[in-house]
Amino acid sequence: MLGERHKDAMYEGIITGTDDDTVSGILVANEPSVEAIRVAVATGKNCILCREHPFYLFGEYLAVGLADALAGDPVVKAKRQLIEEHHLLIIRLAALWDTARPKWFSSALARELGWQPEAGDPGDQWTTAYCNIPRTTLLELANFASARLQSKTLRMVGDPNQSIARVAVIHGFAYPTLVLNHALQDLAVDCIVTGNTPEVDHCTTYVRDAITAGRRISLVQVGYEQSDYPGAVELTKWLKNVLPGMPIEVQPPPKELCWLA
Amino acid sequence: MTISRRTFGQGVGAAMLLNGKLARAYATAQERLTAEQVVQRILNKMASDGITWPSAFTWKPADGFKYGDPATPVTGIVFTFQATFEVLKKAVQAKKNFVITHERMFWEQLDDVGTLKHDTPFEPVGSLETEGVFLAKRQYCEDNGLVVWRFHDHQHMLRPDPIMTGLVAKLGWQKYAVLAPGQMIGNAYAIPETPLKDVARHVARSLDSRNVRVIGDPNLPVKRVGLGAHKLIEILKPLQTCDVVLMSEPQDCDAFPYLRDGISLGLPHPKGLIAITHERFEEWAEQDAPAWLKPLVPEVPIEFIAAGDPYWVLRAKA
Repeated sequence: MLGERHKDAMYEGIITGTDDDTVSGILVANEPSVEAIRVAVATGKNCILCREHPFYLFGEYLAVGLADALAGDPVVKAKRQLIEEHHLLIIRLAALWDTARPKWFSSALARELGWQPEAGDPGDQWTTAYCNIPRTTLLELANFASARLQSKTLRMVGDPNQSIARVAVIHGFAYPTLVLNHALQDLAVDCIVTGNTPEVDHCTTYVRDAITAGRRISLVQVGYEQSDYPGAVELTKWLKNVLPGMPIEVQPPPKELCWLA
Repeated sequence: MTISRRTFGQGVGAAMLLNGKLARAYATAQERLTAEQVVQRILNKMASDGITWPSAFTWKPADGFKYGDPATPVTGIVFTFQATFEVLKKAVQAKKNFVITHERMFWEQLDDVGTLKHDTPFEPVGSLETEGVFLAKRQYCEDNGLVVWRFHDHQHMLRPDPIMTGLVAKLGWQKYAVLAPGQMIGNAYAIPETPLKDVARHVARSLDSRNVRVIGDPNLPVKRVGLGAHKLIEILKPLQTCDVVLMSEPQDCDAFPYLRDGISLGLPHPKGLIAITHERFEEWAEQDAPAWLKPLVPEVPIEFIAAGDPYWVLRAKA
């Protein structure tokens, strides 16, 4: 059984380079950004292991028509040139990581927040990690997560004074509605912590409606990038054990991209 | 069991007629305007303006009755950006039973919660039909005799598009409009040169939002602002021709990394992005909608109910 989404692992695998390339070192960077490429080159690594697509093809509905629209795009052209100039091997594994270890990235985020994720049932393919936490309020939790993850642009839904003692942690982009609905099936969950969710299309409105329906629940969006970084750190530690002797590093935490007006 | 929307609506209609309170209301309101008559007047008005229904979209239009019996007599009409559960409760408090919503009611593009067909490529196996929030929201509609009609794709076809008119009026940028041919939104705004941080603050203040997210150098001089919807593909052209693009409900995983790379590469474009919520971008059209509908439907009261900005954010301590 594959993961809860990305059933065909669209746009994953070796994106640039070939499987015959000799690897001089690996940079683990969720986003194979121009900044990450520069770090890889500067540290003598010709391979980037990432979650995102170097040419912004997340997959699913977001990528419909995008590859064609980006043909000739100056950003893609310059980035592709940079990649080719340095003969970089870029390997994208996103759904495939989540398939192999569904709760890996969510659990890493939970641990970064100081929480202990519960072990999932064998065969559980949902990425959600569940944690009992010391009782707090939504506002306190948001302030704590902001400080811990160095993120200033968190967005919350719910009563700031709501009491929270059990959290569902979902790394990355939490959607569609059934993913959040699955988390709510645990009736003790009183907060969902995730990277980002769609607003009207699937998820944010669902949480708003759940609150109006009487469910004691809230939503904390810590930022897509911030939610995935702890997973990259844990993945790097694991990879060093798998490939002893190979120079492997995780990209330093990227500076928060957005600021609030 | 899969229930089509048609079957669902019929079932709800039957349930409503069996409900004593509503049956009495129906019996005493034979001459009152029904929801489908209101919709027909809207369609007639659009037809007189040259807009056919259904229009030939390249996608399946989302518009139509989403809940309730179209033959229900209307006690009042509510326009809203999205028929959230809270908006439905406010409509009942306002004694109005016909809600016209721009966005979906049950969190899925076509509100097809039984099959979730629209989401099939990325939806895990399942259905929302037995889901608690769905059941509670539906039950509330049943108990209160609500009818919900979605007016999205066709509302955007009105000329001028009221969604853009409402937004630009709130921003006070009407006088700065310039044509942007070939783009999803056909106007850009040539504003007096202003640093990006001040443009963003103006957007936040004008649209009464505290969660305006910005990418780019705060001191970037902005002379031309483009508009875009939600996905990278929808903002590529304005990003290449404007100093900054104002977009709604971005998905952080496509537009944001593109902006990061473009800025890192030091290319002339893209330079900046202002991201606001879908609701803050579009709700102003619904605020204006009662005045648009009133001449067509003078018999019943019509009001706007805000769906509201969904998020709150942390603010830096002074």
